[in-house]
Parts: sequence; structure tokens; C-alpha cells
Amino acid sequence: MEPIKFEDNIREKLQEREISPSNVAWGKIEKQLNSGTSRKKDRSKWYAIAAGFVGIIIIASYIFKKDIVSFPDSKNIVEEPIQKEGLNSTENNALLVDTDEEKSVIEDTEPLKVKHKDSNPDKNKVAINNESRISSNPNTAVKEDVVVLQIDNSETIKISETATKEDLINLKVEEVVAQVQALQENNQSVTEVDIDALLLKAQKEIYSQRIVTNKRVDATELLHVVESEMETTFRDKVFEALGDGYEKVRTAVVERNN
Amino acid sequence: MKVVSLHKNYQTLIAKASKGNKKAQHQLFELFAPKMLSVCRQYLKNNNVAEEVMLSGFLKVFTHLNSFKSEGSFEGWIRRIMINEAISQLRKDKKLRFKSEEEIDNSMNFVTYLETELEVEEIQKIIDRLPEGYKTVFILYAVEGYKHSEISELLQISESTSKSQLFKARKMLRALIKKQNIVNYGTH
Repeated sequence: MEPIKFEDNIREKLQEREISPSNVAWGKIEKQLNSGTSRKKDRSKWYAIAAGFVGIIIIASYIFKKDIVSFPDSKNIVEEPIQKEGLNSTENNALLVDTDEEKSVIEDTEPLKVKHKDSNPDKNKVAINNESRISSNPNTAVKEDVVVLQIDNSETIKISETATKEDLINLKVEEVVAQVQALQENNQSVTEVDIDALLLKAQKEIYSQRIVTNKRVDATELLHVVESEMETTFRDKVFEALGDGYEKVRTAVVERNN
Repeated sequence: MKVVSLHKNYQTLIAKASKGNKKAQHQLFELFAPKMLSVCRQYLKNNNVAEEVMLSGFLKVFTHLNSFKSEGSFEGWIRRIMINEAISQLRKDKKLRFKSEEEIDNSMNFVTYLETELEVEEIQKIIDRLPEGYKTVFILYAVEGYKHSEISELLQISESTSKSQLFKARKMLRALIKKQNIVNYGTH
């Protein structure tokens, strides 16, 4: 008998061998195959959800980006006056003057909101045209809007304040005129210094009255308001009331101002 | 004639099984599971573990049926999957350790001759007594017909280590067979 090679014997025997798996073997595979299929379905569901979520994010980011692009206009509208307020008080004060022209602008322009500005920039243009005296450069249009807004917010308060201002000025005019006339009746010579003193006294009284009646006190604003009133309304009324001494007083005032 | 029809039947079953046909999958399982369990059992001592490994191998077979190219043997493809699964299991159990890389003189191949044929159970018992590293390299080389280069790639070891493992496996096997007094010695 020919000797048998051990490795050949192993190869043949092992390759021919078959071992029957247990009865539950196929059941286990079937179960795993089914769960694998359902897992695939679940996975595709999750992919769909994830894709939807990513889509929402992209759309949202696009919308927000759009807002941000259009935002700088409104941002300038809000922020620039605040910065200028701190940097250049004289420029700002000029905007806060209560002239007749400005009042007309306030009346003409509808109460403005920030949204309206974004949607209808023409309103801003109207304000610029009406107040061309104040707004010499495009940036001031923004300031004017802020003034309008501020006035709009406290519209009712301003109206009542204007009424009391008129009364107060009239009262003071009468007082100054009475005092000048009293000096003339007493045969005393009315000098420029006397008139200045009377005007300054009346001015201070009006100013103090304002502070008492106003809820919010801005020193610079009040000073300029008073000064402008002195120059336009109050002073003119005093001079008109004085009648005969008008030219004299006016000359004194002009000389003082010079 | 029978081989051709069997091959055609395989193709049909494979095509159906790849589309998720449970009946076809079951038929393929019935056809190949006993042989594949035997393959797994060569590497793994425990029958239950061998079956679990075989099942995970079949799961891979069914989920990757689309990647099977009909050019090669379907059985050979499944067999390779089973071997890979068995080796992965050994790695998971940290049983595959290759310490020695000493150079082996391959000029003389000792061949072990048997006086009588060994039964498969006896062969399995002898193989089971080998360390995992020796056994794996020996089966891959002697039973599956892998080259040392293929073994080194599969087990991620050097070729010299593969040769060393094979040499030591043969030496140990000869000693084990000698104990049973059923062995002759000779040179090849």
C-alpha cells in the first residue's frame, strides 16, 4: 500500500466534510435580513428628513441674508443720528429747532415707522426737499427722519407745550413793554444796557418755566430753543410792542450782537 | 451535463437572491451552509461560534450578492467570505498572535506520511490542538491552497512569519501524529 501524505489526506477530508447547521440557523439570517431591509427603509426616511432640514436651513439662510443685505439702509437710519448727536451737537441742534417750516414738514409727513422707510423711500425724499435749508447733504435726510419720528412720538405733548410757550412769551412781552414804558414815564433814559437787562431777565424766566414744564431736559436743546425764540418770536414781539422805541432798541440789540 | 444545469440553476438563484427573493436565498443557504460551516469549523474550535460566524458570513453574502461577478466560482466567493469572517472572529477574540519571525530553511520540506487514512474527526482533533497562529497558516496553506504572499496579506504578517508559522505547525502535527503511532517519515 502506498504511503498516504498527511496534508493531502487533510485537504481531501476537510474539503469533503459537511456540517449541518442548527435548525434555527436560517431563521436567524432571515430575521437579520428583514431588519436590514427595515433599517434601509428607516435610513432612507432619515435621509429624507435630513435633506428637508438642510433645505430649510438653506432657504432660511438665503432669506436672512437678503434681510441683512437690505438692512444697512435702516441701520443707517437709526444709528447715524445717534453717532452724530454725540459728535456734532451744533448740527444736531439745528435739526431740533422748532421753526415754522419744520412744523409744516411734520404735519405734511405721515407718522413714519422704520418699516415704512424701508418700503417707501420716497417719503424720505419729500422730507429732504421740504427741508432743503437744513439738509445740505444726503446724510441729513436721515436726521430729519429721526426728528420727525421723535416729534411724532411726542406729538400731543409738543402741541400742548407750544400753546403754553405762546402764552408765556406773550406774558413776558407784556411785562417787558410795561417795564420799558414805566422807565420812560419816570423820565429816565432807556439805554441799551437797560433793554438788554430786561430781555435777559425775561429770557431767563421763560427758560426756567420751560424746565419746570418739560419732562425731559436737554440743556443744549433748551438753550438753543430759547435763543432762537428770542431772536424770532419773543424779541420781535417786544420791539413791536414798544412802538416808538422800536428803532432804538433794535439798534441796541444789533450792536450788542455785533 | 449535470454540472452545466447546476451552474445555470446557481445563476438563476443568485439573480433572484440578489433581488431579495427569500426563497432563492433560502435555497442558496441550504446548498452551501453545510460546507461553509465546515470551513468555519476548521478555524474555530467551538461549533456554536463557528455557526454564528457562518451566519454572519451568509448575511454578507446576501447583502453583497450584487458585487459577485459570475466570472469566478460562486462557492469559492462564499468560501473566501467565510474565511475572512473566521479570521475576523479570531482577531476579535485576540487569539491570533504571531511571535516568531525566525528564518526557516525551506530547502527541505518534511513530508509526513500516514500508514492509514485519518478520519475527518481525528484530523480536526489534531488540528484543534495547534496554536491559533500555526493552525490558521497551516489550513490556509495546506487546505485552502493560499500562497505565503496571500497569507501574509490576509493575516497582515510578513511572508517569513507565514513560513515560520507553517514550519512550526508541520513540526507540531508530526509530533502529534507520532503519538498515535500512525506515522512514517520521509523527504519530499
